[in-house]
Amino acid sequence: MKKLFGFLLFISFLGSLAFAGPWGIVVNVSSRNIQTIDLGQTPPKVYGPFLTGSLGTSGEILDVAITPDSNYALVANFGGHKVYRIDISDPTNPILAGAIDVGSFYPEDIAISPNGQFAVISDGSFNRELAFINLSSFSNYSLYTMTSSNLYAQAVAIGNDNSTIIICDYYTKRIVYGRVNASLTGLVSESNYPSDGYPINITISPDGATVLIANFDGNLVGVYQITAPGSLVPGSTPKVTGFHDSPQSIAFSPDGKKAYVVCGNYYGNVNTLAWLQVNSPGNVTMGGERVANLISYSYGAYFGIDALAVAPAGNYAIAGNGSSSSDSRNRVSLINLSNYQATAIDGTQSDAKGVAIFNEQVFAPTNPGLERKTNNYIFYKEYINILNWQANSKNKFPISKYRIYRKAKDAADSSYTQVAEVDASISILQYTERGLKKTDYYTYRITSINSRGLESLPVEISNTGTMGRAK
Amino acid sequence: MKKIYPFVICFLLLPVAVYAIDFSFGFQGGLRTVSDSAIKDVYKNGVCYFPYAAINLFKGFTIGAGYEFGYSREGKIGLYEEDTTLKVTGIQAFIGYQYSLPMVTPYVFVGFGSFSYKQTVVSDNPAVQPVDATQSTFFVAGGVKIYPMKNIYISAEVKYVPLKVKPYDDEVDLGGLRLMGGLGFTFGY
Repeated sequence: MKKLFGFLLFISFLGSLAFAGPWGIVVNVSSRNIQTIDLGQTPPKVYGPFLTGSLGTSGEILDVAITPDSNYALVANFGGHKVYRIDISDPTNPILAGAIDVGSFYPEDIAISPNGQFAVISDGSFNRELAFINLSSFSNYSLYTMTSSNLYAQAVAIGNDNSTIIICDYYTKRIVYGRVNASLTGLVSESNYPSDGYPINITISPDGATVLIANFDGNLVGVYQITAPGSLVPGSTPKVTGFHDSPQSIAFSPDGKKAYVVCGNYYGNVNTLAWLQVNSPGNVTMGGERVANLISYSYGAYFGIDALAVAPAGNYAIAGNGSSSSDSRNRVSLINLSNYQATAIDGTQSDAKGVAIFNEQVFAPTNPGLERKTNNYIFYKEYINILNWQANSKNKFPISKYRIYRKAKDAADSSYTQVAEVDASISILQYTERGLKKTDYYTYRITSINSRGLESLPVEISNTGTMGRAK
Repeated sequence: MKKIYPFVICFLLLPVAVYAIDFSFGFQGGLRTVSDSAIKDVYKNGVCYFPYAAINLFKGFTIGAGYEFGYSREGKIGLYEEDTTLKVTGIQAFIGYQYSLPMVTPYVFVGFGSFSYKQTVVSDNPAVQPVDATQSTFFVAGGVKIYPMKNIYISAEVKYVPLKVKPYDDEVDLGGLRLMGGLGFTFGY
C-alpha cells in the first residue's frame, strides 16, 4: 500500500481487427477451386489451388465477394446451386466454413452489404429472383422474386447506406433499384430505368454517391447517383462512351476519383483496361479508353462477375481472365495503376474469373493492463506505468513486435506519438515507462506488428487519474 | 569547508575562555538512530561521532560547539533495489547547564545545528534526483560526566535532534536519537 497507490484502471478496447496487407483471391470457374495471392510480395506469391472437390462436383465458380471484416469469402457455384463460405483469415490456408444449397437458384453475382449483415445474390438464369442471405448465421436464404415485369437479374450491388439495392438486367437493358426491407429478405419497392446498352456489372463509389454500370453491348458505362436510400437518378453525365471494347467489369479507386473498366469482346481479342475520371458525384468522363492490355482474352460477357479489383492503396489492381476458361493464354493480370503496366501473375490458372482483394488481418493484442507503481526514493517519488498485454492467438502470421503509442490522458487522439517498440519474443509482454511525475497520466495504444510489417488496430488503456491532480 | 566550522567556533570562543572557569573538549561516539521508518528501512540506524569543545562559564552554565559525523549508510532503495548511500553531518552549537557533584556532573543543554545531508542512488534512471542540501534545527541533550581523574571525564549522553527536510515534494525526518559515550578533558583556571 505504501508503495502502490492502487490505481484502478480504465480499459477500453477499440476493436481487435485489423489493418491490412493486401491479398488477392481468385475463383477458378471450371476447376471449382480458389487461389489466394500474396500481393505484398514482389512478384506476388500464389497459394493454392484450395478446396478442389469441396466447392461442388459440378457447376461453375463464377464470383467471389469478401466480408467487410476480411474473415470470409463467399463463392457462388452457378450450376451447382450453392453458395459457399470460406474462412480466409489465414490466406495461406483457406478453410470451407459453410455452404448453402439454394435449390434451383443459379447464383451468379454476389454483393455483400458494407455493414456485413447480409448478402444479395443474383440469379444468372431466367428465374427473376434474388437470394438474400443473413451473414450472421449463414444458415439459410430467402428468395425474393422481382416484381418488375419481365425483368431478370445478372448483376447486383448494395449501396454504402446498406439499403439501396441496384440490379442489372442485361437482357431487357434495365437498371432496377429499390430499398431493402427491414427483415433483409427482399426489396420494399422496385423502380427501373432503361439502359442505352446491355448492363452487366455495377460498382458504387466509396462515398456511396456515384453508381457506374458497365454495359457490354453498347460500349458504354452508365452513370447514376444515389440521392437517398433506395433512390437512384441518372448522373449529370448520364453515360461515358468511347471505349475501345465492351465494358465488362468495373471498379472504383479507393479515393473514388477514378474508376477502372475491364473491356473485352466476343472475338478472343486481348482484354483492355480503360479508366474514367470522376469529377463529382454523378459526373464522370473518359480518362483513357485503352491504357493497358491485360493477360486475358475475351469471348463474351461476364454477366455480373467482378473480374476487377483495386488494391486498398489504389496503386494496383488485379483482373480476372476473359470469359473463356479454355484459352490457355489466360492469367490473372497484375496492373500497376501508376504506369498501367500489366503483368501476368504466375501460378494463376487460365480459368480464373472472379477476383477480389482483401486485407490480411493483424489482430491487436488482448487483455491490456496498466499498473501504476510508485518508486519511493524517500526524498521524492518516481511514478511508473507498467503496461502488459497478451498475444492474440488469432494472428496467423507471427507477430514480430508490438508498438506503443502514448498521449496525455485528456489530449486529442491526434497527439498520440510512438514511444516504444517491444520485441514480441520476450517472455513477458510488458512495457515499463519510468520517470513519471505524480500528475503524469497517460493513455496508451498498443498494436501488433506482424512479420510482414503490417500493423493491427490498437487496443487502448488509460491511467485512471486526472491530469494535474494527484491520485 | 564545513568541517572547519567547529574550529572557527572554537577560535571565536577563545576570548571568552580567557575569563572562564574552565575549558573542556572531548570526543563522543555511539549509536545514531533514525526516526523516519523509510529511512530506517533502507539505511538503518548507524553510528556517529561528535568532537566538541565547551567553556564552562559560571555557575554551571556552559556553551560549546562540535561537529557530528560518521552517519554514512549504504542500502538498496526503491522497487528496483538500486544501490544508495545517505550521509548526514552537522555542525552544532549548544548552551547548557551542568551541576557539579563530586566525581559526577550531570548536564543538560539545548543547541542549534546546521545539518548537511546527501543521498546518492546508483542508477541510470533519469528520474533520479540529486539530494544534497542543508537544514538547520534545534536539538536537546542530556548526560552525565564522570571524573575518574581530576581533568579527565567519561561522558554518557542522549541527544535528540528533530530534522525535518523537504528537498523535493516529500518531507522526511532525518532526525533521531544519539546515544553516545566519550572521553573529555577539562582545563580549569
